Amino acid sequence: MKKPNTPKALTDHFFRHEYSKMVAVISRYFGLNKLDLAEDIVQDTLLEAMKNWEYNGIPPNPEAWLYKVAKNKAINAIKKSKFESTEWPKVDDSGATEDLFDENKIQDDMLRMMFACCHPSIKIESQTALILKTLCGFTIDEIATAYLSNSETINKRLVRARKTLKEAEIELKLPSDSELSNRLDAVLHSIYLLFNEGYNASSGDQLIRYDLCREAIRLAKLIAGHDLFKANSTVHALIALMFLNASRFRARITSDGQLIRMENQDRKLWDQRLINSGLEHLEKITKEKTLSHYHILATISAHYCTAIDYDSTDWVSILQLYDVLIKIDNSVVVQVNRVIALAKVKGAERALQELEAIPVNRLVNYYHYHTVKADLLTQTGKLNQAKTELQTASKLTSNNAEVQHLRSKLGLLEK
Amino acid sequence: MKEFMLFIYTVGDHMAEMSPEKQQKHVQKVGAYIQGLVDEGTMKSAQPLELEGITITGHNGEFQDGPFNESKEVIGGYYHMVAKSIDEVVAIIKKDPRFEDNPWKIEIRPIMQVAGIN
Repeated sequence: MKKPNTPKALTDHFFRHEYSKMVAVISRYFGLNKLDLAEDIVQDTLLEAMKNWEYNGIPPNPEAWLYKVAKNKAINAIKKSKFESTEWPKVDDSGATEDLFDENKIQDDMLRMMFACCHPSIKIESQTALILKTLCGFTIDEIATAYLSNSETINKRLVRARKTLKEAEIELKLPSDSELSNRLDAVLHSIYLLFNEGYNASSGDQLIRYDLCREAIRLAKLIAGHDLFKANSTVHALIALMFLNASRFRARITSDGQLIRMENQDRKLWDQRLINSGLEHLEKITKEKTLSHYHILATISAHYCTAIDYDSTDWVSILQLYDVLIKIDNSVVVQVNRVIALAKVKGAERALQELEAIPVNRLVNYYHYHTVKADLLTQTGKLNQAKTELQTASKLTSNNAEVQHLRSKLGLLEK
Repeated sequence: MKEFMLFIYTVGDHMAEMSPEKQQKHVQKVGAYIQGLVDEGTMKSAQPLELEGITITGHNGEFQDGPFNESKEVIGGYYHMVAKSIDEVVAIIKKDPRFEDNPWKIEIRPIMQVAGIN
């Protein structure tokens, strides 16, 4: 028997990332209206690889193996289509496919795909699902797990998104100069949503959530790697923010899934490598005059990450940053977070006043408001009111770790 | 030493339903398992099979296609192994990590030996 190649280890997430590369590349030739066919071809290719490699070992160059198989399948699909319909783009299947999987072009293809997924005609919740499917190689089930949803809902979203891609005749190309900035904002927003979905945990599955964060960073770095965006400060600000926040990921949850507030986190668990990466990206844009909200948030996060302990955090600077942030982002989330810093600088009494000044109608269902309020009420000795707030808060979150955290606080108050 | 043919049955194509992440894990662990057996000489050959083929029935010089496989159970691959006994093969096969991910069925058939001839 021919001795199989010595098994070569695949890099982490190799299949997932190759999936997204191949979908992006094949779509360049097929057009976005054939996205589902491109995905089928790639799925088939990976399946063939899996069946073959488990018996014969992983080939010395697994990427080349995959690309060759995918290319053949794509060419066959094109040949077959020539008998069936005429609506296909004219593809020269002799020369054009030669460089189908040119490594330099793959990055461009993925970037174009990203802009297509975040096209303004696609609904925002579908954008992130589409990104996860086509650019991160997540299955429908995995996306459903990540969004605490079910497969049917996610599938419907994807079907609708693909339909929009067709109907709006969205092309796989980078936006023109005039709309580049707006379109980039939309892409970054979607990536940030993806990150937060992982970070703020509406789902209990730690692994999937960590993957979401990692994928969001990977996509943002892909953008930063392109000549058009290399010097774009908003991109670097977002990457810095995600790195810095992600550095605390493992310190935020106990092994049994309980949420740990920053003041109680074991700072030795903070990932120093990620902190450094975040600070490096922040360093690139320190001279920037106009601050994006990512930039401000990243700077706030950097203050947390570089403090020796919670009490010696530079709360004065953080409060100043929130004061700037609130002018460009007056959302409830920002207002409530600002109050936390305010309490550290000016005391709980004052913070409570400002918190209560936020119009109530904007706070419906925002559970974090109630947890912060409960903390401030506890600090100012209004224990009964604090209890009520904690009870309200625990009704508003479906996150088990949060609920347990709130319960333990409630338990402390009742002692 | 005795030789064995092992038929690996799969029900439907459940490998297709795995996520890329799971597919990768599957390849790596089953690949390492098979490679280990090849290295120690227990595995003579192992190959995946296409899930579809042709069955021919013949009698008296007359042939017909089929019968077609009606069940969902298909042979997805084979192992050709060398071991002291079928019990030894059973013990080895129970360690096949493919069983961790999906239901599989593996049929172990000793290659027939005739005393004094083989």
